[in-house]
Amino acid sequence: MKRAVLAVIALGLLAGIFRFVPLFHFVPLKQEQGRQAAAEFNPTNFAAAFWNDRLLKSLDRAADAGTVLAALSADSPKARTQFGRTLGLSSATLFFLRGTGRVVSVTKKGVSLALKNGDDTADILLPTGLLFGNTVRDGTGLLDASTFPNSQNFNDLSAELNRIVETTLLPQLREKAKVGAKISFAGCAEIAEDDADVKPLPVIPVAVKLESP
Amino acid sequence: MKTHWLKLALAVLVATAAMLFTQNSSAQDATKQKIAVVVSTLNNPWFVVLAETAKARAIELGYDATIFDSQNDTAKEAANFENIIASGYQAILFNPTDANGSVANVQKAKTAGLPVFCIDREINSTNAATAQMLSDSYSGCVKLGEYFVEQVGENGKYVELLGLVGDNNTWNRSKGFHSVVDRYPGLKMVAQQSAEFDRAKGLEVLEAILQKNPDINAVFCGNDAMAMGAYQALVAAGKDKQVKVFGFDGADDVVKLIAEGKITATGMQFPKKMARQAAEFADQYLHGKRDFPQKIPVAVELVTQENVGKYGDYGRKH
Repeated sequence: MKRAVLAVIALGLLAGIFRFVPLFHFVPLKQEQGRQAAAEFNPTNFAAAFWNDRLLKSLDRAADAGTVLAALSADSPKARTQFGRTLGLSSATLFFLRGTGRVVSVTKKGVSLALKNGDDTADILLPTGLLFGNTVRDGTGLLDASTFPNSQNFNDLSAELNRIVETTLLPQLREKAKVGAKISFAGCAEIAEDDADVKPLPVIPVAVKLESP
Repeated sequence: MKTHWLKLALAVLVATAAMLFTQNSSAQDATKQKIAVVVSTLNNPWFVVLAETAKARAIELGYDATIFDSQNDTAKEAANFENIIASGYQAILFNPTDANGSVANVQKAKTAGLPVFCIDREINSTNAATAQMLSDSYSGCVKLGEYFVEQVGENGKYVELLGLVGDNNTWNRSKGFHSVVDRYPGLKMVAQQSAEFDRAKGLEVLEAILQKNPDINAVFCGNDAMAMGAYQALVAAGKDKQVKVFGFDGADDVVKLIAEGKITATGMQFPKKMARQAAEFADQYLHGKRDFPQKIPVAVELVTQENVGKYGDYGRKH
């Protein structure tokens, strides 16, 4: 009887010890992967610093959207080389653009702008839905994959930059952009190799300024 | 008599010429530079194409080239590197096994004076390899994710089969896919499990998952080998018509099944393009070039039933 009590006490003690100092943990695969990737890099902080300290201070580097669109329709390969950039062994071209246009339509997809006075043809589409991919990260040419040892961090940055656009710029576009309003914008665009007709060119905005009609 | 002497002189001449030719070609062989192709596994046709293309291009460029199989094992990979360094190779075209675990091997080669060019898979270092040619898995899977939502809809249940958990490609693909699909709350992931980029494991893992989740709408696989295994499991369970399979790689067997309407989509990674470029970089390095970009992204293209005619033989048809 005494031995049984002692055994129960010993088991209780062991359970108490293992409660606070467990021999092993069960960790979900995704959580462990996330922990490792996040150990050295904080994409939220990096994206915020990049956005405020570099991107918003580089808007004057963006090419004039009207000039680029005219060049693309005249000689697409030449315009791509002159105004755009291609990453590594890729066939798509990225552009960093700015301009001012008049709102000609507002749909679920986004806000369409005409760049020329007296012409209602939509030249630019500022998307206002969910944003995916690397266009914002890669479009400006300010970030280089070679400086990121782990591409997971570089990709996490894309998601964060898209989140900044979605939360800081798109709500005001969705709410305030009305047909006839003037919008000044800067943003990033990507054109696939076989995109012949690029108008209206989707440009993910990184800066917008609205004026009432 | 005269003819006899003439014949003898001719024979001596021929023998001397043959000897000189043999010696010369041996000397050329001895001086021919050697390139090693180290591949994570040869147990997957996609990697066989990658390794064989790199080897063939190196040979075309005038090198002796040999393939070393790491069998998805960093210890075997380390032994391959030791062997290569000791055997007088001049450059390594390298498909790593593990983003972290392979860094030391590349560093060892660098210390021994051998340039290393990574193909398809990354190592988590920017100062060990001479250059890294990497499929843009993340944006490839963003495209797949968008197509997945188009095809499956905004509501449904799906399974994700992950690749090797130590490989960055596994997570870049998964994160690219989830960056899209997770924005649709009606799409529920009922299971996420590693099948290690392996066809047999893909089959086995999905069979087990189907026992608990017989009502899934789709399977997203981190590579085409697992997609083939998953498709086999669905055929065996009689669910291949109701469950959509998505792969990644652009392997020929999957591209063919997309054309037949049996698999929904994949991402074309262009292994031949990457492998040839890596061999050409090694050649340029051995001819004195040193300024290589550290990371060279290679775009991935979405292959669907609508555009499958444009693709085949591990790339775009010309």
